Amino acid sequence: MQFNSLAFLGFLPLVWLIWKWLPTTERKTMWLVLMSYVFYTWVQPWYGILLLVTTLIDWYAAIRIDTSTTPQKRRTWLMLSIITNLACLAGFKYTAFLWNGISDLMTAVQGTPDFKIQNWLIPAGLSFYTFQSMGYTIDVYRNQISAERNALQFALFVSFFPQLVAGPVERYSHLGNQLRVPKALTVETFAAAGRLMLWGFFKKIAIADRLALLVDPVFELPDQYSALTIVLTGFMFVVQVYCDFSGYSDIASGVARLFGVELMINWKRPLLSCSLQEFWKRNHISMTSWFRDYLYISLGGNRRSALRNRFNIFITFLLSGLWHGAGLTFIIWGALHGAFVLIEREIMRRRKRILNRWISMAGWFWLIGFHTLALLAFRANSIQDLQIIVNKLISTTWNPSVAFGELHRLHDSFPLLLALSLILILFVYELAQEKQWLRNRTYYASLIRPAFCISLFLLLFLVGEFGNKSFIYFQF
Amino acid sequence: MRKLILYSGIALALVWLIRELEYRMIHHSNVPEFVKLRKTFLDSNSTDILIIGSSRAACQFNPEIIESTTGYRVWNAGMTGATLPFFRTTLEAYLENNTSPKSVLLNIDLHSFNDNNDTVFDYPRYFPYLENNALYNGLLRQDPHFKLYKWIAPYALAQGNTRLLNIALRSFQMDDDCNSLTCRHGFEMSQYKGRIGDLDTILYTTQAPAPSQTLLSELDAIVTRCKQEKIQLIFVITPLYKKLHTSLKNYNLRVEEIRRIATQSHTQFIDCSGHEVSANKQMYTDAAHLNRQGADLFSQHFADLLREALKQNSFAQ
Repeated sequence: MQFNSLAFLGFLPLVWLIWKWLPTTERKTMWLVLMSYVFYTWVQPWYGILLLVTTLIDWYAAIRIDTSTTPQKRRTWLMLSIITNLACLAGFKYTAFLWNGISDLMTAVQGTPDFKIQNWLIPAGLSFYTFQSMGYTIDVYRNQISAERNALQFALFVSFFPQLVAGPVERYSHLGNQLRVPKALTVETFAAAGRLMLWGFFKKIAIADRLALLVDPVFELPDQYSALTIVLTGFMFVVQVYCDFSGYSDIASGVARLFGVELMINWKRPLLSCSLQEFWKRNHISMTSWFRDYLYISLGGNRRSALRNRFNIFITFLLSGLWHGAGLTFIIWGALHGAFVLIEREIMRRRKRILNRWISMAGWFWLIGFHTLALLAFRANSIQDLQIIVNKLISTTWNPSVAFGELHRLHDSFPLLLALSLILILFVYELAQEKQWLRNRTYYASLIRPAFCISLFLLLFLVGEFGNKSFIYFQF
Repeated sequence: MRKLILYSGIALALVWLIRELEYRMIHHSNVPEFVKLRKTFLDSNSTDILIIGSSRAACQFNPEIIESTTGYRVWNAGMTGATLPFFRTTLEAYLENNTSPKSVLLNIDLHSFNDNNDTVFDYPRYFPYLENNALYNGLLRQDPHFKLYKWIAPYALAQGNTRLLNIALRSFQMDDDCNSLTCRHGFEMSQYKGRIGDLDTILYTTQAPAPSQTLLSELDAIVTRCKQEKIQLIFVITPLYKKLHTSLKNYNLRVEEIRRIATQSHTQFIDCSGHEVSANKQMYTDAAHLNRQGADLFSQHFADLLREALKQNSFAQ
């Protein structure tokens, strides 16, 4: 079930009302687990079986880790959890990629006919809940938390529907206790939840889905467009994917607040970053911190030699790219970020004086420019398309009038102007949040904020693209 | 809590207000497609001959040529994507605000009897005109969602997309050409959209379907209404490009069926399926739609036939 669907519009009030009415925490937990599974299996019932199996294995493995007396036994149970989760992930997500890679290699080397297979249908949210569950067992192994004995409570942690399908990837220490003892719902919490959801829906429906109409045609046939058109469209894709994903997170956070739960902040206005390192502290925070805590630190982090540290950073980014998709384009995207984060670190280390505002501005242009170019690899439909794009970037002239003509041929002026206006609204709003321009004003809560919310509500229906597009990160 | 309810109420009221404002602005728009919709469904304009059909009617009958030959005022109310139920809706909606024309030309397509009649093609374009009760009721018969579109403003705005907003904003522009044939007579020049296929590679091996009872009853409703209003109804079949014509396996059988229905209902029938224009690729945009040149040529021939047919108007005697 998707947030931007009529089914969810009926689902949420029903679930919330019954949850509110139920007298005990235990019954509330049972109800939420049941409804989370309904939410998850709305389209494909067998998704629920996989979720249930991995949940049970991890729940039991964590208890055994906790109760085991020897390090070997603890490690064995941890391995069971990790292997189960990674096997599910690899099985569904990477089998076709690896198999087809072998087929291509054998065709290239021995000339044998290819034996490629179709990509398997990936259960929605698999990448997210396997990581969330693995993080839990690793935390238990590291003695950071105790294993949850109550199976239902653990099942709720894994399957809590607002964040099940596309994160944030929560930690048990943060989410577990909140689910056990949810916060009391006040009018202010209710209003805050509504505002979050409204902003999330606006980013998804009005901005992301509208930009998708401009982005998709260019990336379907990149050979027909000039370099500048591809880059401009690439920038729109930067905004699209941010709004799509952070929109989902905002909606998830808003929905979770209705149930007395505060999810972790997953996005801190990453498009306002002035460096790659800052970007990765603000972008998809739950996933970045997961890779840092469970992969980078496990590889040794910065406790080894400088060379090993660089290797650890690069591998972390590479695997992060692979997490996003089973394809060379995603690996290339991850590798680009890894390489340039390292380069940026070296440059920053050698610089003696403190950034002033002008260098901050240059840093912003650098970040947006690099992120746009790197995301071309992320968005390209295939490695062949990426090659076409790279050739275009290198060899063709960058003529603004040609780009404008191409974009205008694809779309009327109105959709283009609308897209630019929405991008402007996004940046102005986020800057206002970042710099807290209006928060200290006298009439902020009583006038400015309600007026803004009402305007958002109107704009949502006036310019929103209600074609029921799924969230981009569902494919991961 | 009271503030929350108040602000929510204000937001909903504003959504409704903005929708009404958007529609009022669309009513003043000079964009030809919407001028045609307004003139068909809202305005009062006298016409002697009303043309009803799908895009083939809209782009193949040039009212100017028909007017100059017959001497009668002609309005082309053909709507792209219209199906048989919508032909009936168009007639009833037109008669809601206008006196009865002398004659109605009903352009029947061979696919009129197989369309998925639960859907209305490009349905948001009709939203600003639902104050026409006959239009609203006719669309509601086809698609029950029209009740939501009419009464729930956020739902209608969400469906309408930015296209209606664009048209509304353009109503401030005075440079749109409202002297075009579309604005004056409802004629829409066909544009290649690749739906039917290009003229050399078209390969239809399907059969034109038999008319279902539901669709026949719609046709019957049109016949009945015309008799009640003393309107001379004429069924017309316009020429397809010959390759499409010959590849539809039971084309002639279907034409004969329409002839039979016309005879049974005492309705005149003009069969132009074999017109010479169908053999000429240069006259077509795609296999089912004449281009401007083809439409003018066909309209002149048709106007001559129509002039004779109009003399047989039993209501005029």
